[in-house]
Amino acid sequence: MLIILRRYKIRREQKKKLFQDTIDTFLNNCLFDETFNLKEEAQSFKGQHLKSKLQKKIAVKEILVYNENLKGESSITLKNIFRALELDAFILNSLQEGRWYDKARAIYALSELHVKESRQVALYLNDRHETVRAQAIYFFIKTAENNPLTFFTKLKKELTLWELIQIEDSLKFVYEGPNPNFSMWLNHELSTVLIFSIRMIQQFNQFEYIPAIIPFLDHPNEQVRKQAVSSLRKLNYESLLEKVVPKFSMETRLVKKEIIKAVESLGDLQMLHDLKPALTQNEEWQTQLMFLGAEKRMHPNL
Amino acid sequence: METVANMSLNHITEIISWLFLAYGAIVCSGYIFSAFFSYLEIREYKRKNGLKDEIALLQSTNLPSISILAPAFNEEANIVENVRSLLTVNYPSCEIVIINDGSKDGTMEKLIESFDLVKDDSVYYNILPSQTIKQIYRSRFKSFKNLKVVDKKNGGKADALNAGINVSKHDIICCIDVDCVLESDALLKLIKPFLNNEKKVIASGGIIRIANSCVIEDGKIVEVKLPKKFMIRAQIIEYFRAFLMGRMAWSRIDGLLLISGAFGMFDKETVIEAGGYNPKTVGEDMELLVRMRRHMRKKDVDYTVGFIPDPLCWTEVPHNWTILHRQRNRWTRGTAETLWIHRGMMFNPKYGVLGILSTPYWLFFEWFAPLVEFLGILFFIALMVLGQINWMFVVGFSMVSYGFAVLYSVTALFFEEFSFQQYKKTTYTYKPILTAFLEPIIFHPFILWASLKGNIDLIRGKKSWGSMSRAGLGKIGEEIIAK
Repeated sequence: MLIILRRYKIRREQKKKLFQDTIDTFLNNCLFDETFNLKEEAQSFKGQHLKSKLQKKIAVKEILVYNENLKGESSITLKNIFRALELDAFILNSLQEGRWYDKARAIYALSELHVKESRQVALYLNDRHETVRAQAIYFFIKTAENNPLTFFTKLKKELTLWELIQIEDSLKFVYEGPNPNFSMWLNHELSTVLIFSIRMIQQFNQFEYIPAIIPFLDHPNEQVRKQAVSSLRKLNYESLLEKVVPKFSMETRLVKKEIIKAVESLGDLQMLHDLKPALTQNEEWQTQLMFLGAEKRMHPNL
Repeated sequence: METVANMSLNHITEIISWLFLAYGAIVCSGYIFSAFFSYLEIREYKRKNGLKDEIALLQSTNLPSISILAPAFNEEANIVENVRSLLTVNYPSCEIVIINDGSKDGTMEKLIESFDLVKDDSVYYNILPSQTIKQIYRSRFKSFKNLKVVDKKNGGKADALNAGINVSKHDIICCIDVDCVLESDALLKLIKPFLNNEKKVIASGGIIRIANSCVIEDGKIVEVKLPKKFMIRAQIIEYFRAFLMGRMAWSRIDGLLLISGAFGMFDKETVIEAGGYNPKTVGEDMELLVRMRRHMRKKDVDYTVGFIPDPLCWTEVPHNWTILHRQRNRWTRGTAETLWIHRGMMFNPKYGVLGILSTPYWLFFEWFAPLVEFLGILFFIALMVLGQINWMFVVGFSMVSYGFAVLYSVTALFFEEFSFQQYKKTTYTYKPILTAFLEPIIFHPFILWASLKGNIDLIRGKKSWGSMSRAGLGKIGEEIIAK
């Protein structure tokens, strides 16, 4: 059985390679031969070569590979080929009727080829499979011309840290429109969206929204407060210390550590020493260690 | 009178025979279930991850920082290459902490010289007990600014890791053998469960692969080769069985009790709360995870342990029988010590899957299995002496046992072929099959003996690791085989 599997895999790879060569030739002709009649040739190619599901899958995969490497007019032609081969219908069918992994693949293809099917994809933003959810989020960022985060309005479940990192990554490296206004999400009911928006205001240097972050220094969720202190510190907000130092003794360990970082970066040694009485004997060791580290860095000869 | 005695002897032997049979049947059913669950897990993982390469995320500045802890003891021969390999690890923010555990050779001097180390006086707190730290060093080279070397008194691997935890800066720690070779995206994959889970993740581990005979360049595996030596090939099959079938299945039902000491990632806070590594056991990796899980249960926090089916880390396995014997002896003692320390979990429904399934499994089918097998052999000899053998039954039983053992190994090979297919040459399909056929006859009896010896040493109170000399990756090629 093991040997059969190995032979099956080899033969499948050979078959795949053969078909890839066929579709490559077709795509190259479509893209670079000006005498090529796309409509007619696409119909004939479809009839001859796109019979099975596997062939269609390979065709989509090849088009995605070309899409990654082509820009401008060639990229538009490639999308026309995709439609002429009626692969869009195949993809949409997978999205509606496929298993969860087919749906994830379908959404990925839609994103890469900018097929705007927002209404259908939005249904998967709260899917129980993380892969489908991640692809749906990616779709909205990739296909957006502006406001790439509008999908936030449809979210019902808190985002994981991994998803937040992926959103940030996609915003930086995939989305091509103008920088979004992150402050518009500061009223969102999900705390992970709040935290993300506060962090992004800092990451994208949106200094004009500093006043919008300040109220979050008193937010009941410690993670939100921590992010607010961290972002304001990185944005060099001058009045940060006068707002957070007086509350130091009442803060949680997580926020305390962030306040020590803020004093180290925006304050002086005296301000740091002012925190000392609040670091009681029972204070958790990590906070104390952080305090000592900050003290040493601020005054190496101490 | 004699007839009555004969009858009762017959009854006793029959009852014992049935007990052995029942044990065998339960073991086999366990293996079948584990193969089934592993298949489901691998299939799901392949479906999840076949879509898009996440390596681009390695540019993200928002991935949490990691402290990589690598203890070193008498590693003079390979330490510089090994540290250089670790320094090439692909992750945006990590510190590498090498802990020189009181080496008696020139390990420390080599490190100081090669990486231009100077004394570092940054603050740390000994939250976990460990032997005295003599000095902490950092490199003067800017390109090695994330390297930290801890020089401490000898206290064993667990003690060295505790010292490393004390000195480490970040909230996620990755404990690794210094001579391991990591895949380029290993840390990214291993940290994913920590970031992508609704429950708190306390640890995550991945599949360990055998690097003997592989071609390594610049600290990376560039060609996976199948070793010519039978005993290493047999260990490869063992690793397939353990990781692709055993741990995958346990991970599916959240019953993992062991994350390999060669490469595992942990939530530092939970490690510290649980008390860190236990220097009194030789199975410190298993003992830590069990204690962490116990601690989380006590705290009544919803948590999980992640397991990544990708081959993330390549390590060198024993290349001669003496070292293999020492390793298996130690593994047996480690398992027994851990189960004894945490005997309160056994059959305790309070611990869910761990209490009802995992710990009893480890007790009966990991610790006791070699003992039962040995008793079986003694029983067989006794029956022969008493002339009570039904040879037809013996032949049938032996064939079924052997057949099942081979089938199980071939299934593990099938899983490898189905999932990652690291051994790409076609000839690499036939040789492992042959090894699977020979392993129960040649390799298994040796492992049985090493495990029995481990139990004997355990009773005698032996605590040492035993010398584990390594040939050094990239040097274990053909010349050693030729020797």
